Amino acid sequence: MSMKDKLKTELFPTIWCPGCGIGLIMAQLATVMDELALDKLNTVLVTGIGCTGRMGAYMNFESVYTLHGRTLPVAEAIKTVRPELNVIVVAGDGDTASIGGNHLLHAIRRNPNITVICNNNEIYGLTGGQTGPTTPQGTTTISSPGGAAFAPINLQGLVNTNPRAYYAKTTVYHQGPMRKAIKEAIAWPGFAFVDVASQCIENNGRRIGFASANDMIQNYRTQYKPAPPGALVLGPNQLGIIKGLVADESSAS
Amino acid sequence: MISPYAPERRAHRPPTIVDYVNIAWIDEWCKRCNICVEICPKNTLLLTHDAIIEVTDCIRCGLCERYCPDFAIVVLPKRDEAGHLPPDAETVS
Repeated sequence: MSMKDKLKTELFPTIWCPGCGIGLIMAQLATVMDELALDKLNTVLVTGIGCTGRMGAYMNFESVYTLHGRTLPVAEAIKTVRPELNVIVVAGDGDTASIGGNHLLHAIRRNPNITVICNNNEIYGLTGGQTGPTTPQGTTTISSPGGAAFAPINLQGLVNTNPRAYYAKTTVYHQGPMRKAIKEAIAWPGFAFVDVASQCIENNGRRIGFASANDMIQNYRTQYKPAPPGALVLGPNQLGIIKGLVADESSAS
Repeated sequence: MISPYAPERRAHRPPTIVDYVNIAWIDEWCKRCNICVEICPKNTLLLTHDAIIEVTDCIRCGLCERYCPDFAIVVLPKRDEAGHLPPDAETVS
């Protein structure tokens, strides 16, 4: 068994732009699924609209291609009806935090046993590079030529409003931590959220001064540092995992 | 194999795999994003004439395979003195 058994390689090449980071996330997700022996009988992928949503088409799993932003209710429904399945949500930052932001709030509140892998490229990439909810303040995009006006959404703070949730922040450069975070998130008994910073070179990187996709990958290498051990809150450019309390049956009311 | 989603599409043909000494490169899957060329610490790879070629000095670090978003580069198993791959080497795709 290898990682490529989890991929539909007869549909390759993928439709993403040259240098897109989604392929790196897909490679690590397929590797983790191969290590955990997940197959199409015990796993469902729920994907949203956007570039990241096409990942469901390239993986050898049953997948639901949901309405825009409605990945989390569909995933909760699947988990409620078939609790023995592993439900993995793959969505972009626009799908998760912008149009699906309200669903994200209530999924965090209800604490379903699902895994969310958020491809956070800090832009609306599919529609051409408009300012999204995760765009850092001051970033020049095509819809904010003078710089994005508002501060980005705090996904870590949102997820940690549930004390039993799991939050991890990685980048596509740090593939070992990404693999570890995805593996722990799938095994986590509750809501697990993996925030993966990835590059969008065509619609974001070139407009803010990066020459190539490798420049953005090297930027992740130099900018992001691991959080100190035992940290309860991650800083702005820190990698790490914040685990909540494990829910046990006695304390559940 | 004919895709079940669009049966009118042409049947799947296996991609063209180019074997160099240390790496194999898959032509149809590569989008020429230049990540492998720039991330290589020894400047082993070169994008020229619309193809990735392996020049010299490969130290088999595997960075090109790890950071290729399109699964288009695979580091081959180590060759013996005669230049043959081990007989139990996995095929690329």
